[in-house]
Amino acid sequence: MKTISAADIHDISVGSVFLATGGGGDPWVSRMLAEQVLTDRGPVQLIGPEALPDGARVVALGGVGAPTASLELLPSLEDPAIAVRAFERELNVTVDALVSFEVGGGNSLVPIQAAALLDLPVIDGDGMGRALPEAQMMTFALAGIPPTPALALDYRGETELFQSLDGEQYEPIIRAWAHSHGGMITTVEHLMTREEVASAIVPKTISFAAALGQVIRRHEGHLKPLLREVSQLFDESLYGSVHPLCTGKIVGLEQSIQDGYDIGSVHLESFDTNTSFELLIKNEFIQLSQGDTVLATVPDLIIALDFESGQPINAERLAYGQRLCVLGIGAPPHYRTADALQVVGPANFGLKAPYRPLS
Amino acid sequence: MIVLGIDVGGTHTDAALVDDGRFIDGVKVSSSKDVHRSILNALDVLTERQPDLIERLDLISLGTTQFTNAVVERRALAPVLAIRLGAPSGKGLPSGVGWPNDLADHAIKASLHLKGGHLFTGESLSTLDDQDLASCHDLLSKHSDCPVVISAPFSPIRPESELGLAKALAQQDPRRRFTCSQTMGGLGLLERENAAILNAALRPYAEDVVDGYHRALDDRSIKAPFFVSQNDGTVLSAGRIKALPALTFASGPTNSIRGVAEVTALKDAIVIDVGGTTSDIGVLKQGLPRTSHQVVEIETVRTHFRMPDLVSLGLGGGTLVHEDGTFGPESVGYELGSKALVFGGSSLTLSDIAVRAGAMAIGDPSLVAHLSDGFIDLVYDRIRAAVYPLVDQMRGEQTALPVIVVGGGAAILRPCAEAYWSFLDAAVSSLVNAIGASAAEASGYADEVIHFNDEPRTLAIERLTEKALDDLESSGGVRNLAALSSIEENHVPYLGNAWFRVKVSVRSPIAPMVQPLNIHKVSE
Repeated sequence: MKTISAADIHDISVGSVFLATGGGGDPWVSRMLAEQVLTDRGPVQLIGPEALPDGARVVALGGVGAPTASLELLPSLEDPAIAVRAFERELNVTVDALVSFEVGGGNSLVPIQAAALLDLPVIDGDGMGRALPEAQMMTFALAGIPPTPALALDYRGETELFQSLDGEQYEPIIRAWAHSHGGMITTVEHLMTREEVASAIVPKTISFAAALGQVIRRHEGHLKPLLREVSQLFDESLYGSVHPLCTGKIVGLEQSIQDGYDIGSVHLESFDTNTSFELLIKNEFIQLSQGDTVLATVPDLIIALDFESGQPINAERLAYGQRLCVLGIGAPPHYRTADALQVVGPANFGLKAPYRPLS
Repeated sequence: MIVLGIDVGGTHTDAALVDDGRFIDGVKVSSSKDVHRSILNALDVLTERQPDLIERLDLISLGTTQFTNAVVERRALAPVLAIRLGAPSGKGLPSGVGWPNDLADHAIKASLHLKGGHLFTGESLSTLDDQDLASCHDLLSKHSDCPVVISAPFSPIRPESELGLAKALAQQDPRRRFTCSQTMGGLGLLERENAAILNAALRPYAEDVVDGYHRALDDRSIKAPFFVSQNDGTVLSAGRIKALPALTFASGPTNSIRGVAEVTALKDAIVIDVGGTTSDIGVLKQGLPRTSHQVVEIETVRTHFRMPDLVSLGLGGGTLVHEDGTFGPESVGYELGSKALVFGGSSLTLSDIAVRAGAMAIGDPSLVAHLSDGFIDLVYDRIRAAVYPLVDQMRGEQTALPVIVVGGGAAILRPCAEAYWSFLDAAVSSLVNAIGASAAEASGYADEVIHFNDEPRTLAIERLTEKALDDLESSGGVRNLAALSSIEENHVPYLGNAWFRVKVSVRSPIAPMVQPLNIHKVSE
């Protein structure tokens, strides 16, 4: 894929729900906006960092806040482009390309929306390779790129510049700003050189999401062929292999909040035997275990598919009695280093089990 | 208390006469194009058998797909003017976004996007100004016949911006009809607005339809009040259907599950409804169909109504059986009576298999005598392999849940039934959807985002329960007989610890069930 046109957006959005590992919210509205802007403005170039000229500057952008707030406070078509322009103006820089900070969920589509209006290319890659809850967990941050200078834009067009903050400091500050500005904002952050982008992104995730979404849509309602083709796609990617970990129905569902996170545990019972499984949630799916045996943990991807349709399901949509097929997929290499595991390892999500990577 | 439940389907109209939950009699007639014709046909057949029916009738309850079909067929829709508040948020997401173009053309004449509405905190998002009002007046004067739909962010929590604009415009234009999105309830601005637009576009038709029913019933001197099924398995008064026809979307599949509750008095069960082409497996939970988390999409238009939790498989009376003993998903459907082997046709169907197995008595059994016992066993092995896992999956942890098999093709499953499966009498079984329509209960809802520090949890739930009870009453329910169906509390992620989305639902018998007025005597 060298360009993204309106016809690719539905595939990217479905692939992005899969890669969101239970988090990321519903990308439907982002999809509507991206389809519309690409229909009006024509396709956007999708490039690797190597295609950027010397001295090029790239910024990451996306939405930050509460998906529930945006059920009512809708995003606007031009906000991502306005935020990039404001960033350039405030900091007196020229931005040459845009990158998504999170391929999981609607944030996969926000840079595409801006790129179409600004005639800029989009980098094929992102800062997570999945969805994760906090800014310091981005591969940009892990590569040592500071999040600031960053610019936040709210629904009224009000902007604020954030300077000289590291990832740990930035996260609560930007979160609070989102809370006091309607619950959902657009941010432009992580200003990078070509070389920094090349070293920091999880590469090719946008085209991967599109390919994944196409397979999932083609095989809707047919789990077996869907799994076969999805496994092939992952085998040819920089992610690990697909491991079907369990199939079963939800027989128990507990949810609570601790420190602003949705913490949940889902009890699954397999269809054929009396095996039970526990799936833990902290905004995303973070661990699957069978008794004392941990089958998968973050940062590996844990994905719940609807057993009948094969479609990926967000954690917030899980319901008692629902029938699931749970997959584990090895995380991209970026998250498997000892340094990265200090930030995105099981312990960072309150889990006791050590990280035992899936192949 | 005698209730007539009527289910108007595409091919058949079923009517069932139920006395305090006890099935008395029922008929199945072919549907005619004209829905009240179908109702009258069914009524007339029944009155012949039950001469005092009309005098004894206390209530009529109707299940209909007419309003869904009007949307699907793009007919009888009155185009609306859609005014959305909340600018500048939502620029690029106009009313009708994501709709099929031809449906939007039929249902939306023009739209405006103006300031107003609220944030999740209850603070004002932006304020409607004189210029906004002027553009409203301008739009209304250009389209004097169109009903108006007003939607605003967080209107279920802060209704005043929708209501304020409706009031201001109504002062200038008192004969115009205004619909505020909050009357459809529920969070999700686009979904609520979609439902409100379809609803407003259907209202003139709904008035015609309801008036038509009244005329048809008047023709037979029936003065009993009538109610219509909605998508959650409960009913709405005829008057409210005139105002809220969209609430009937996707009401079909819930009626047979509801019917099982009615005839078996079970509160919890798994229901297998075997039709001509497919079987639907659903769950009866505390007397109502269990809902899924999937929303109702009508012609790809997303609404915020929730679908009943069903799994379907290609197993019905007309389903074709292949040489290797596998079956479906192809079906001869309504042509069963001419195409199946037992009726002299040349297609081997599951009905033929059931006749050969001695489970069903239709057609001429000698026409299937050549099928070997081994083949019949093979087909039933396949049926078991298809049905058992689905039943098991629908079960959740309730291992003791009884399984009730209903529908015209129910007998097919007899030879592979397990001990805890039950079958209803054939007459009742094929009319169970009409009986479900007769199970007239009303429901009420409230759905808000609440900050538990500002409004303590117990007070919030109390207030929402009152709100749901108001909603219940306007549907025809009885406040002091209401029971709580559910309270759902979901934390709103990324907004700190205290923000919750709370949904309260209540239900009760409907008013005429409680005080069986002999309406025609009272009104005469």
